[in-house]
Amino acid sequence: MVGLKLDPFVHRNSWLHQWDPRYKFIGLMFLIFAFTLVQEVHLIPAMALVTALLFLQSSLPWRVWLSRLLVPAFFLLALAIVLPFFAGETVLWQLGPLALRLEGLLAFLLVAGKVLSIITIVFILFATTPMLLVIKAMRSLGLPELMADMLLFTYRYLFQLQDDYEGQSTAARLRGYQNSTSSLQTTSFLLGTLLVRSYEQSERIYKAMRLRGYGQHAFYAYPFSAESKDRWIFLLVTLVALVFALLG
Amino acid sequence: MTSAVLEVKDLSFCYEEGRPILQDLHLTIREGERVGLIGPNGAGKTTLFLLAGGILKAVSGQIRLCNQPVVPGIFRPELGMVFQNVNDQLFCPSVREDLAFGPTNMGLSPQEVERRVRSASIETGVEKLLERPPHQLSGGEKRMVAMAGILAMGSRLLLLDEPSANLDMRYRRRLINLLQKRQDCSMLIASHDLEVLLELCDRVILLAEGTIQADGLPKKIMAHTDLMHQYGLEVPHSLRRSLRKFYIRRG
Amino acid sequence: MHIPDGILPLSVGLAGYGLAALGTGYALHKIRQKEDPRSDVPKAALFTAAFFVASLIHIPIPPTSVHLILGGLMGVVLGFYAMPAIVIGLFFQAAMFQHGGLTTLGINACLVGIPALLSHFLFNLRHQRDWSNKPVVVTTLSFLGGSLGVLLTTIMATFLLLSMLPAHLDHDVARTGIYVMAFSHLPLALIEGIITAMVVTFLLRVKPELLKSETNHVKSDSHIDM
Repeated sequence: MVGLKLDPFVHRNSWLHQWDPRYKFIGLMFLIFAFTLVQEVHLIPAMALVTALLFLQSSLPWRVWLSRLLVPAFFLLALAIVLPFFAGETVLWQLGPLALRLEGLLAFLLVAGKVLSIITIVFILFATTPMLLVIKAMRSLGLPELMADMLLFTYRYLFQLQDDYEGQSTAARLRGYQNSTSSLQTTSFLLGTLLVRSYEQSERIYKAMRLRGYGQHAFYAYPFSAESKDRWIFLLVTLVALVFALLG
Repeated sequence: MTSAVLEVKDLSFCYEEGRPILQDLHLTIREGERVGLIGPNGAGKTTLFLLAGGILKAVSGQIRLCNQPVVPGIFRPELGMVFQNVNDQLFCPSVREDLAFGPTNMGLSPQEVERRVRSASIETGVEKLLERPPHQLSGGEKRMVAMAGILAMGSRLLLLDEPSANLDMRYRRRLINLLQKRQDCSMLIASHDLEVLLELCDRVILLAEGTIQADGLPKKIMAHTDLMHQYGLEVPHSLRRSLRKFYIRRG
Repeated sequence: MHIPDGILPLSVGLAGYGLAALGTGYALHKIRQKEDPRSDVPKAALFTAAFFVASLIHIPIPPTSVHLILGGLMGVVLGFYAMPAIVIGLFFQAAMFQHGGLTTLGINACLVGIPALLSHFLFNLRHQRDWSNKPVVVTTLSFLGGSLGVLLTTIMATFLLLSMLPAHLDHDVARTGIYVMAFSHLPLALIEGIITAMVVTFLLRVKPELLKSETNHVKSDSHIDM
């Protein structure tokens, strides 16, 4: 799971890092939802500007940001082929049967601008906040405790189960397993074993947790202490979001 | 002189952009040799195993197994590895299927696979467990099944990662006897259980800071107090006692 | 087959959130009804993590490779817990590698979760007429659960995506889009069906209590006293 851990970047020192996680979470969520509302192409530069500004302020490495674009890039590529060349009437440029059309091009620019901006902001949110704090912030914003518990445990055991699975498949490879469609049976055994191991481990974990006082609710009593600065930033970001939502 | 089973030359390895784990490592293991591998945690013992098994790709250097270069991703049944965590190793619904896994992948006939499963299970004493799911076995039984799965492949080189960890005295003894009887296999045994190495090995390698710091007779290396302490290791009890006797006799 | 942020209208995103919250709320309600609601938390979380790891597995189908969704298997193993598990899994996928998205979290959870619940019901058909002892029936049901899960997810996602495309798009292109999408997921549907059937068979042999319906799960837990 290369690149899964964002934690190397969460301890930097920008105001985005310092921003109270609760305000940061809602503020940036407002912003991305506002961005989804945008339907006007001429708002794209403004959207990109806001996003770029936030990204520069976050002092996050752009190489990591670039690597995050890999998954959505495939999707955007498909749209880049379909929309500008097949959608719309106004032909901008023609080469044989290939015609670049204005409406399709604009539609593509709109989608691409939105996708890239939102992805960047989501990246900023999770790269400047430790996951533990994100979950605690969501909890104090009203996420049910059971759900918060599940998020925490899932996060805690993701990496370990990933290691478990890697270990299993390495051992299997040393005895001749190759991940392909012809060895689905072995892949299924490996998956089944992972589930059985998770199940057995969860029983042990529960006992160990009970012995250390799990269920006392004290865990989420994180002293979030917002200062007026946190609120001002929140207000500003919300205003920006509002502008986009209204103009979009 | 017998031929080499494993030949490692100028081997270097590091995980992405990290500090080097192994640096210019040289190592030759001859047929029938049983070599102990000692060193502090994080010295690169497991990494060396994974490189030899073609699971990791070396940054530089060559690894030859039975005179053929090791190519990452290519299955080499000549090499069998038992993992430190046996739960990683056993994933089939029954012990029988698990033992048959390696031989089947080698393309052997069903009769031959069956013969190997039987002989490996008898050799390790797990023949009564063949129909059981591995998940339900005790730690000692699992270790024996994992060993059997490797022996069934007929590997000429066994890489054992902490084979005696979490075993009770009975299973530990069974394991030592099993390995001692296997004169035809070469072994590389990484372990913190130095007593096991003293009993089993005719040679010991101290791996630390990415290279081999010492290579020689187990009794000589492990009794070298300064050397052992320098790399966070302790002289095994049995050797301390013999040293004490030695001093008392002289004194 | 996760829809990224920024391409669906807000209303669809919010509707997805509403539906997913409903499904998750129902599962949480069921958990809370239990004698010791917390006993199920580690189990649900570990399964969620396991499925998350499993969904990262790529199976090469030359010239490309597919990654497993496993919605059907989640439905079979987790029952109603599949919904929260899927929501959590998608949350981490969006947060950690921009797979899917936060605004589309709800809709993506529905795209995977609704077929997962259908697989759950399909698999529970085995309790009818004592079919549960017949391996053929169990295998068939789990195969169908696994492959229909992928097919349904694909079909729903395709229609959603097409509905967001501009109205002036050529219909021929739209139709081709549907076909390409559907056909490119056929191998995955087949693979997931096979894997689901094989994992279920494995679990029935090795750890059958893992596949009992969730009410039985609690009973087997209640003997843990501290």
